[in-house]
Amino acid sequence: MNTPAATDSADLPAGAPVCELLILSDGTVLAHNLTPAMASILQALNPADETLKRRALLVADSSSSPSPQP
Amino acid sequence: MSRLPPHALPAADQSSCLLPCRPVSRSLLARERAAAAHASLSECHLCAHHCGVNRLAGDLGPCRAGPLPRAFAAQVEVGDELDLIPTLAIALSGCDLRCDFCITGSASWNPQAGELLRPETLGCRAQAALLGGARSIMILGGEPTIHLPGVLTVVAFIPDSAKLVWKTNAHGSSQARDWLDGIFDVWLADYKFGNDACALRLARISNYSRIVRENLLWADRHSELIVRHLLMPGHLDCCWRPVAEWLAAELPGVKVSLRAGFWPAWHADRHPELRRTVPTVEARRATEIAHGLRLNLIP
Repeated sequence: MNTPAATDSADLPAGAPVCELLILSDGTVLAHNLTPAMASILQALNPADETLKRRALLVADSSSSPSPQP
Repeated sequence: MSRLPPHALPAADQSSCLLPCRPVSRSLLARERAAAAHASLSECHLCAHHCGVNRLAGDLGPCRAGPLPRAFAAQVEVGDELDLIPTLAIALSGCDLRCDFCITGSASWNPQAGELLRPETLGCRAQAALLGGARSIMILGGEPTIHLPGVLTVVAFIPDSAKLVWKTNAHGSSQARDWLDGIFDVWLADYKFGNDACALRLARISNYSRIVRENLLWADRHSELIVRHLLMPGHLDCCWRPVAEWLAAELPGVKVSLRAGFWPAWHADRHPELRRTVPTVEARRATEIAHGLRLNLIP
């Protein structure tokens, strides 16, 4: 069996955002370490998904907060 | 149940205090405990293995961890429970369990993975994440319990107002719980197996049920608790049902996060039933069991 990307990417530097997806043959997408950027992409691909909608909404809310200092 | 924030504990000498008592700063509490916790690594009893090895001298117990923690990821994520996200998830390398289906197996089984933990830098990243809209800071693994001294050092650099989440396998010792008391706002604790036979076969762990229950009951008394169960294919009746029934009986009303997104990672292929995702029918039945027991499911 193939090892998923989750395990291959574990040694990446901490600063590189990582999100792993598993796409099933029926079109179901499973996500691990879901980042805000990936949540937005998946939500755009499937606007009807209620779970993603709520997570993407939270991302949108938080993005209106002050930006972190460089 | 209403509680004081765990870091707003009264001063230890309050009974003799004539002035109004001030809450002890969480960061101060963490800093004070970090040195003693580090010294305890000379005979490590942080997890329920109680191996007693001298990690300061380079001896290795079942977790194979040395004295200094390493992190393999630190990023803002939105995949956890809605109450907690967006969260800055700080993942520490190494674990005291050996779950064959671990989705971060290579880092969770290898405490040398990733980069050396830099508390001050992580404190800055936490502050930046909070300013950027993160609602919490989550410390996870692997298993963070085995790195408790380092975690306390990190917490010392995190603002007291931040919502701190302890994501754990709930296999810690009473000593670890003493160090943790009053530090984390939320315990996000896994209850993975509904019986000791599955725990032994899939994670090589003994006395699982007794230990995890002890930790969950303690966590419920000392912080906000969210119990998470990752539904495994073929383990509905042997694992989820007993977990659900125990939660209904012993922790009624506790927040329960039922996760159906299992995928066959790491060494899952050692177990035929784990070579697939969770069938829709099993996920549906799992939810029905939860509803039947009136569990407080949260998304």
